[in-house]
Amino acid sequence: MTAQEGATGARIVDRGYQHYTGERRGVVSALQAITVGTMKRSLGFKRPGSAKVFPFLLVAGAFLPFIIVTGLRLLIGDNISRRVPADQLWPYWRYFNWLGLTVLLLSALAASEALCPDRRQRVLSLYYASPVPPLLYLFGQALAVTTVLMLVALLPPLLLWAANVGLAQDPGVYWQAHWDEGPRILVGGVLLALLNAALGLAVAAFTERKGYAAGALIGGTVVVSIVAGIASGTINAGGAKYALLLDPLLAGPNVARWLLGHSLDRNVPGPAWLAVEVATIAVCAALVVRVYRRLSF
Amino acid sequence: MTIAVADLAFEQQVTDAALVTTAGLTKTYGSVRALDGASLSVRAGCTALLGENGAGKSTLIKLLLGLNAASGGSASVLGFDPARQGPAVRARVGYFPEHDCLPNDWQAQDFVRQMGEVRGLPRRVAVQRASDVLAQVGLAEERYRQIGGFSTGMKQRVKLAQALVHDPQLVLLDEPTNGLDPLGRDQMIELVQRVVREMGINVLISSHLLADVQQVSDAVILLDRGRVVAQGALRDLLSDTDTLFIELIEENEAFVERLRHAGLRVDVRGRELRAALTDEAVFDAVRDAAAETGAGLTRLRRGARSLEEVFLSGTGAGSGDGTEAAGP
Repeated sequence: MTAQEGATGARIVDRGYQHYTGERRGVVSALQAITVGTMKRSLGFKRPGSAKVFPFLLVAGAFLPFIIVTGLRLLIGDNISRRVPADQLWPYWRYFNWLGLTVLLLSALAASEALCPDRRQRVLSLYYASPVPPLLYLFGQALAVTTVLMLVALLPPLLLWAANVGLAQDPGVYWQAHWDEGPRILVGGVLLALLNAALGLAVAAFTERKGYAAGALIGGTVVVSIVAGIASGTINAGGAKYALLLDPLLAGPNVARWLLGHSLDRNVPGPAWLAVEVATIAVCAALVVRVYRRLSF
Repeated sequence: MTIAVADLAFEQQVTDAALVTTAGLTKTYGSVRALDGASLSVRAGCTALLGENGAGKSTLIKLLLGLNAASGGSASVLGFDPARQGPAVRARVGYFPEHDCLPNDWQAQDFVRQMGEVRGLPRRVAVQRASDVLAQVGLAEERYRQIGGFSTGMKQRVKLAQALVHDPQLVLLDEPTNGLDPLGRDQMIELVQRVVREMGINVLISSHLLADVQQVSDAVILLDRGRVVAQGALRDLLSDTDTLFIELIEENEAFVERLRHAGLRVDVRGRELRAALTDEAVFDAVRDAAAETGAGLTRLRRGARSLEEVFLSGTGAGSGDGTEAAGP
């Protein structure tokens, strides 16, 4: 409905149905629509207030160390501690440990929001009846969840690194000595987000109910983590420490920690953690695709 | 992902006058033949796909959209083969599923806009067109409300709006009046009529409700157990079935024989006879037969068979061979 004002002041308030003859975009635009829509809804936008609380708390929790450390440096200066350098008040590897659980919880929210409602309410049949190929739909949802998770898995440590550079007494000198930490944080954060997105989507692909998906992901991860911890600590065998590799809560942070050059728990090699992380992502992606290829509407 | 919808130029002309054609289209699920060699043709305007539940209407629609692979035969939609060019078909076609398909916690405006973007509209255009089509279906005031709070009739309107938002050349409506009360059904049929006549969008509407089909469609395709049993322009189907209803006091074989001897096609159901009303001479033949055989007539009524009768008899204009186009 458009309104046109004429010289007489008369207005046309309804021109009836108008055919569209303009530009029609391709799958990239469709992908963008799916991804942005899911990102917004995962974070609670366009949804009731209750749906905004948990995402907000998780995002706030992820940024808390950055805010505290940077705030203290801004307020007090670099003489906060005589024993610890200002840029080491909250080391990046510790930040990734802090983020491990946060990213998992946000994944439980975002992945279940991405896949479950569309299946339960059969909106998926409309996406399948659009020009968007099913695999592209899945890719869009995966991209949305991964991007949302990068908001907490990548952005806070990256900002902390940027703050460390910017607040150093001589940023140029500091940059020369620490520039490589940025790319390492980037890779570690992206992998952490990808791992949790893959796990969350793999679980969500098996149910139409958000609650079941979120519960299964959190509960399953905690149980496996506990079992892996107990097995690695109690089994009296040479390779028992490798049971730790089964712990999905440790995989992401430990890869980041390895990338940042820090020693790992019980000397489990970094490449082993990386292999487990990449393999888990690949297996989860294959599972999701397999489930969705079998769906029919 | 090698298919780029942007490359699927919209200017491609449909060379065939028919929007949809199928030849021997078959779909089997295990031992069940959901669609059995369907050959049909759909032209511009509104065509009804009529059949009982399980007749194969939804199966046909999904094959036309390229959502399922056919077990045999071929189809063409707007000049594209849905089996190989599904995205091209789906970019040009709107789809209104029979089942619920709306996200309850979305605003109607957001959802229709999203469907517009997914089907290739730029975001700004999708926002504008979402508002427009929601207004066209009578939801201008309610478009910012959550769909979950809508009545069944309003939800059906949202389903229609999302099928129209990208300005398709053809809309496939699968049982759009399902679950609606009589008033809602009338309103939906009125909307479908507006889609065809005011918006100029072609419609293929499936239904098992004969009254709906008769109101809205220019042409009809009758499906029965996966087979096309009749198809053609609605007026042809009905005009070809002009009938003289004759009710006798008692059964009278001689009267019937006399009519048949006069060249009339007569269907006998006890005391009730139906004679094909080919011309006014049929009345003379009935009068003469009654006089000669002494048959007593209690009622003589001119009428047409309903579509239901056409459907139940499985015969009608252009029946069976599926070569005649369904179009006005």
